[in-house]
Amino acid sequence: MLTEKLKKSYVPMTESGFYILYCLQTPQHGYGIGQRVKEMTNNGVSIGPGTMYGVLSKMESDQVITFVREEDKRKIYVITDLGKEILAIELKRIERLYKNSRGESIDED
Amino acid sequence: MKDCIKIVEENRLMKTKKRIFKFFTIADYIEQETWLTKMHQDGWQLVKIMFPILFVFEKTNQTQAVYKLDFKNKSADADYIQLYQDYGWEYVTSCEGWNYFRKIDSQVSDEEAEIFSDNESKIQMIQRIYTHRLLPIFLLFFGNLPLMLNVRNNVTSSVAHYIVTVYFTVFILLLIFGVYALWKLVKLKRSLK
Repeated sequence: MLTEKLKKSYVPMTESGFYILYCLQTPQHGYGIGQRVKEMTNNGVSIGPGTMYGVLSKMESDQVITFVREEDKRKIYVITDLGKEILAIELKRIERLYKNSRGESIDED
Repeated sequence: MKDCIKIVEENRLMKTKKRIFKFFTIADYIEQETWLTKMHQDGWQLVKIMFPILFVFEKTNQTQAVYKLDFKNKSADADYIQLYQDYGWEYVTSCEGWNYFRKIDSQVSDEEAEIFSDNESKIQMIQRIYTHRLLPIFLLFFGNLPLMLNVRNNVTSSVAHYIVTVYFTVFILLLIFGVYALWKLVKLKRSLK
């Protein structure tokens, strides 16, 4: 369940947090996420191993993502329903930010 | 002949190993990183750390390396080490919750030489040190304080008095290091915000 406390700690998200959660819409391990983010952002965003491990551990304990299986000592995670709910809120916020930054105003939601 | 070989072997070993006693508080991890990186540049790579103060090095020809420390309250398990390895970090050793990593490369960019890519995760590590290292120290001290004061006022024999004084001094030292570490970490954390 999305509590106020959880919402407060994830919205707004850090840049690393956002990219990690976004990438986990498909199951992936830490290094894989890092590589994917580099591709997506044309090397604009790189996430170090300490940051990656910290974010994954926290998200797992908050049940925003869940452990799927282990492959060659690499833990594979995927987003949970709770995580999807948070991601949707965050995406909406970013979209609003983007529109406003271009001088557009927000219609109905 | 055999003895001779043994002596030569020992000599060789003596020259390839180095042990250094050095004390760092839990707030001095950046100083440790700098020192270990410098030691490596001088041709000594870290092998292990015995007790938190005895650093064991061995001779290396590879002189370009970066050292980084990560604090984790749980042991360094396989998936954790694998993640760092995927990023090109070699796991060296662990000591008292600290995990030591090294990247050997003369061409590492500033970005690749960091294990934390944002301030939030650096602050989170400081938070882990607070909860899992500093808090227990303070609890231990203040939990024992009434008992210590009580015993100290009631001992009659001089030997017992001596033991209690030593015990008391150790606790005071622990508190001083604790307060120093707290002050330094608060400052570090503030600089990251």
